[in-house]
Amino acid sequence: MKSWCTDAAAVAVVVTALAGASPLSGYAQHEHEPEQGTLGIPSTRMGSGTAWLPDAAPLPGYHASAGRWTVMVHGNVFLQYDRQFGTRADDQFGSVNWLMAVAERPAAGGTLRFRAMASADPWTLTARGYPQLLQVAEPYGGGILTDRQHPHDVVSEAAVMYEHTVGTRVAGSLYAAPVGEPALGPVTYLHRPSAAYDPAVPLGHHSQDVTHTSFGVVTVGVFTRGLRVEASSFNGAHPDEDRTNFDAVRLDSYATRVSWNPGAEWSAAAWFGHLAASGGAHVHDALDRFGASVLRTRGSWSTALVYGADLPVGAGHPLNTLLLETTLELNEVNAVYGRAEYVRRTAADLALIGSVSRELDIGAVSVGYERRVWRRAPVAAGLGARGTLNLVPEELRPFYGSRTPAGLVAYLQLRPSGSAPMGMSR
Amino acid sequence: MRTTLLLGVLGAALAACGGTVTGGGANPAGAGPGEPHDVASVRLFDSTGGELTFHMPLFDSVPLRVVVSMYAANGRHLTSVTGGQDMQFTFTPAGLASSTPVTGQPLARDVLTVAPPGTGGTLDVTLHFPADTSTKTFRGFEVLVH
Repeated sequence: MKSWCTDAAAVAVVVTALAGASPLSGYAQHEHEPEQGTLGIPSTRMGSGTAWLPDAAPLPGYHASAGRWTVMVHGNVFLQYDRQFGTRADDQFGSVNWLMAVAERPAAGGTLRFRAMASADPWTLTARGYPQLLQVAEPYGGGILTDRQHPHDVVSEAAVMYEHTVGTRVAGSLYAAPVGEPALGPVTYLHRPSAAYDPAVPLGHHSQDVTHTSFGVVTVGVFTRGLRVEASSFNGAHPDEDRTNFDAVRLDSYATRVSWNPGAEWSAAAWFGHLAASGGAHVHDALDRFGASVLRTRGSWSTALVYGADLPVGAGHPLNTLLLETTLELNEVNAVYGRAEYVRRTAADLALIGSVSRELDIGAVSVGYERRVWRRAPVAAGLGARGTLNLVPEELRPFYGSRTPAGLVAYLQLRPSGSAPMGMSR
Repeated sequence: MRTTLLLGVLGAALAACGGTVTGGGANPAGAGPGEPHDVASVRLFDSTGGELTFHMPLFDSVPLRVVVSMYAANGRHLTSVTGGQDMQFTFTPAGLASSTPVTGQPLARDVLTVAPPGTGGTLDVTLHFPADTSTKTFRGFEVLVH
């Protein structure tokens, strides 16, 4: 068991990093029009990895300039009490948190960009993660953890990216990362404005955006102002259960994604990938993964619709997941959000082989509310709560106590208080 | 100053919760005995503790010791049940493999196959509990001859 000193220290690192942004020379909060990047693409479009958000997406953050360099800092800290109910009841005080930095400068007629993302989750949640009913089971410590979501790796992105225009309407990009995100999946939930106030991972995470932490990624892309086509080679293995180390870098899987931003409010994407059989925290046979997403931000209302599916080689049919999530900032102080999900789980996902059908349909509906209670640049603090009602088939009733096992999370969220671009290009 | 105050409040909150950050109800470590009706699931292991639940590899004429662990619905490991249990392995297809009891280990079987590599099927594990004369069958563990 971790001492509270260790936990507090780990969180303090992230909090202090955020809180300390403002005093740094050259730092300033920006709430102006977003930077215009390569081909005039607004920098607000840059989501996770190389994925695109709607141009209108609000992303709070800060940037500083030093010579030709521009640095962006963005982060999120939830200090939460997580309570899951039913036969598999569990609870935990902990913190989900992450900090991201993007540094870029002009280089050789294009833009050179470094991206890094870190988290103290392994200490603030422990290596066992946090309780979440019906989440995919994982090997841990020689056994299997069920109904928990794993922590993020301490370093979940360390990437370099280069963009260069070809003529006036087309540009190319190269993204390379010992740990990063391939062109597979939607903008990961951590960076979706539709999930900005939600501390919990979607149940469909492992079929949608779980590859956002892949140890070994190379992505090449070609894009215009509205269309982006990418191809990745990457490590298809999920990170191992030691979330504080660097896993071996491999390129054994591949993916391709097409992204389309038809207007400032919309972003759509479709992807396909093949993941080699792997070990790691999620042992799986070779599988195909595919899906599509539509993201929309209109004013202070952001919504995401995500379809993702895994097709294990030889399975004959895909394991589908569907997510609809939305966040509405009612005003400067209040925000409401919700998420509805359908996932097709296997008995293996729930570590219940032999006891239930090979595949089961699961649903979950979550609603949440957050009220900002404090704001002083560069940090805003909000108190919030989210409730989840899971919907399970009758054969899971003995394992969860009812057909509607519930969960509740109450939290204090710290995030940047201003809106500024996440990534930039010149 | 207010940022410092906020950090102080955060630190105090963490101090209050720090001792319980691990949680633990869903994967209880408190293994122990139970009643027949407590048995909700089983997992399969080899003699070294390697997990066979998800995939049981067999090799021609090489016996594999399969040890069954019983679990309650909340995931608690049941080291035994009142009155004990009888256990039966059923392979589908029937010629996939056979099993024999292990002396002194009522929850273990030695499994042997003579089927050619590539032959696949499933194993059903049936537990009969004399204490209440109930029977539970756990179906569909995947078996493949390599």
